[in-house]
Amino acid sequence: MKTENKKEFLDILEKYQGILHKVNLIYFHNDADREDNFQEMVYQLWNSFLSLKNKESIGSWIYKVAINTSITKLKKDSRFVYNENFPDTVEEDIETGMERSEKSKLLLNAISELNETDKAVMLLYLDGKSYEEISEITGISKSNVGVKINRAKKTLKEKLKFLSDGK
Amino acid sequence: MENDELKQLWSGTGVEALSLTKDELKSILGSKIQKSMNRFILITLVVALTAAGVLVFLLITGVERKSDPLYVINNLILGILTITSLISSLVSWYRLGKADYSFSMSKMIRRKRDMISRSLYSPYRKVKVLVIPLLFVLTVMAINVYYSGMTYAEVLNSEESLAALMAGVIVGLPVSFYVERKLYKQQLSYLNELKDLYRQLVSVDKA
Repeated sequence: MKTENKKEFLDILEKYQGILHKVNLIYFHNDADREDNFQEMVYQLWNSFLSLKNKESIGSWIYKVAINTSITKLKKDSRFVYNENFPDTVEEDIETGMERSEKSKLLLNAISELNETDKAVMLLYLDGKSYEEISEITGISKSNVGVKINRAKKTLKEKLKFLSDGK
Repeated sequence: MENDELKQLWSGTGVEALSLTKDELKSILGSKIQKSMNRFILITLVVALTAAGVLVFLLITGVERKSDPLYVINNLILGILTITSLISSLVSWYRLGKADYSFSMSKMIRRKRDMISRSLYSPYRKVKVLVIPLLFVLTVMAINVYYSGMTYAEVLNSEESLAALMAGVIVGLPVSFYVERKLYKQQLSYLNELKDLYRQLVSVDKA
């Protein structure tokens, strides 16, 4: 039974692991912290997998566990440096296997400057989640979600204004 | 910059390049489960062995000195306090480790906030400050009386023992108070961070 569960869990994890990587990208800025947090997210997902009742909303469940685990780690981990920037050099990108465009990297930098809860809301918005889904995952009202998204979008656009100006 | 542009940029973050194979994911899960199990086993074992060791010592010495009622009472109180402290520490540790993250963000923060609040403002918290020096005094008496060959009352009346006990209490109380304050401040700061986080999440004005 446990082997079957584990197999099912790993299938789901393989399919949805992108969510974990994205959450890691916006909350943690160096490889060691990301690796640590990735392990923790996988472990917490496994812990709650057996009691997961609604297997139709797997995506929402993964977002919830990933975001909650990351925020808990951030709040507990005193060694974490909040203002650390993303790697700037191409060499570092190659080392981590990333093929991000320069602009996407700037977007990530801009998102990293938002507060913890706005980061989560923007991640869900940019991943194409509806206001209803964002409200369910974060536990805040739909109208509040709308306000937060508009405000965060404005901040991001302001920070990335020079990209449009430079076109 | 249009909304679609933001989404387009977001899709270029390249997380696909970070994709792990099923075997790699299996190995990550396996090693994390193993690590957590080892920690769980180690801590439980240390607590169980300490409790067993203390109980065996108190039982043997108590039986040998059953004619000394004060000594038997000393050992009884020491045994109860030790076991209660160890079990309550173990239970809080298990509870903290068994956090459920599958709730919505606001519910998870509320639950953590309430749990820490309860522990922080529990009426028993202040009693804990007295437990460490009390345990120290009772342990010193349990060992000292047993190996000195005197009765509990004789040891208690001797000048040397009194001086040692006074020193124990004078050193023990501030140390205990310091440890308790440090833990309290740590928990309070965590609680405040959680409160801020919750306000940040539910308030649209402070975003």
